[in-house]
Amino acid sequence: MPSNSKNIAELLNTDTTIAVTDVADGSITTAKLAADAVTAAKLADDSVVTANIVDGNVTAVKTTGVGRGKNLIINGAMQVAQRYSASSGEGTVTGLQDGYGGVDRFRLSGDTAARATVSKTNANTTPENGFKSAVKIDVTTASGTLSAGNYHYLGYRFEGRHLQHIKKGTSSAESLTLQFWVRSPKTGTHILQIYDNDNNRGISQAYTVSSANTWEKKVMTFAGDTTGTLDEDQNYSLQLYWWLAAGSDYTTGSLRTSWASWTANGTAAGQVNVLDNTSNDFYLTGVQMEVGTNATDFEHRPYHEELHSCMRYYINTRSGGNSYGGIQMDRSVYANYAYGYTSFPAEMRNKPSITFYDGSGNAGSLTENGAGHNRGCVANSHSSHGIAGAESNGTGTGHFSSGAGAGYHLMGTYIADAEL
Amino acid sequence: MKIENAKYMAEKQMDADGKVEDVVTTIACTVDGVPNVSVPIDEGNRHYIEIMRQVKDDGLTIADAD
Repeated sequence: MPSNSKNIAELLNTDTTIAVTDVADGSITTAKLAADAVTAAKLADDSVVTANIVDGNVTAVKTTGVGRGKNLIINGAMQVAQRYSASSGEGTVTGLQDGYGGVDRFRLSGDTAARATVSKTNANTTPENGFKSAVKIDVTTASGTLSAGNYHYLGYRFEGRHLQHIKKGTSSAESLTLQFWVRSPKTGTHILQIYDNDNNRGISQAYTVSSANTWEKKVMTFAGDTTGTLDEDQNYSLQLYWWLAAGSDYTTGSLRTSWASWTANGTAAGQVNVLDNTSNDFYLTGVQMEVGTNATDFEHRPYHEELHSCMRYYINTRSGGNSYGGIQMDRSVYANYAYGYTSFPAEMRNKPSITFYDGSGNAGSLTENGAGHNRGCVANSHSSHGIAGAESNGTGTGHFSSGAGAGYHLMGTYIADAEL
Repeated sequence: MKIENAKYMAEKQMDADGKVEDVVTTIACTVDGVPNVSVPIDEGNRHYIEIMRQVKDDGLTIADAD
């Protein structure tokens, strides 16, 4: 019997309490504990220290939501805004109805009469410590009356290669939890939809804006979809929709809150019209989508990492204005051609569309050093890695020079677009 | 997306015998008012997808390469 155990005399003396001092060191072994007998409530704060954890005891399933790469959204803090306007500066695109503008990776899509200035804004009301930027949709042309088929939303598209681990279309399909900060000019029901472009499937959830023009944090979890696998390639597979306005084709019927084949009816049931007045401004930031059912702390990533990730989809060497700092080639022995390799700073998603700008800012041209600006030309011989050539087409101030002076350089900047 | 002035463009490529030939790889066009955008003939490029949609649905024509 251990020296500090209860003895018979003590038990006969009705001393039935077993105190900590009655238990010999090391006498309660793992075999004496029923499975799940020690609950979290029995563990004092900070009682499990690193030394108590056996090497290899923390498995991957216990680390969901921890560490780098948990946020499936690129540029969720809205830091990167490569689209450039000479008049408005970083990120700003005016008169936008359908297309990319504002911050990288987020796209305004729709066909209502509404137009907006979409920009990156250093939020005049910071929603949370650490979020200094947001995408702003400033309605400049209102769409107060919607036809049945009208739609408008702010979207984010994923390529299938980045989502294989959510195991969509399998019996092990993962839940997805989305969090974001929103500031809407309208109170009431707003809709967040996920659309599977590979299989034409969708699911929607409503969130309620309680106070107009006030930052609010929203969290929603979507069940995994056991139907419809996502293609393992670099093309558009999944999209998030922050609905802004929806015609009756989309609002009729009950909100479709379970994964199913997509149809318009019920996709955006209850959605308020955010675009019905030119005084309306809609903001979004702090977007994080992660595997599982918990919304963990936002994964803040450094600007340069987010920029590099964004460059897989869009590269703008004009962010500093007009210059010769983006690209340079030399005229070829073949008339109207120039060659010289310029490597992209990141491998792009696929072969991009290319637009050259000369040193004076003329789109679709390069400057021929010593001969003149605005030599109209298009890129050819380019890949997802870089640009190798240009061909002049006689627009602007005409073709590249020929004959004597064949050493002239073609110079300027470029935009490469491989967005989804 | 407004597409105008679409025209196939050829680049010079060398075959196995060292002969240089013109191979059509891109479409030059004006996209939303921006001229001389080089759009690769690539099913994963969103501009190419839209050009082909407009050819099919809206009657957009693409001029032959020179």
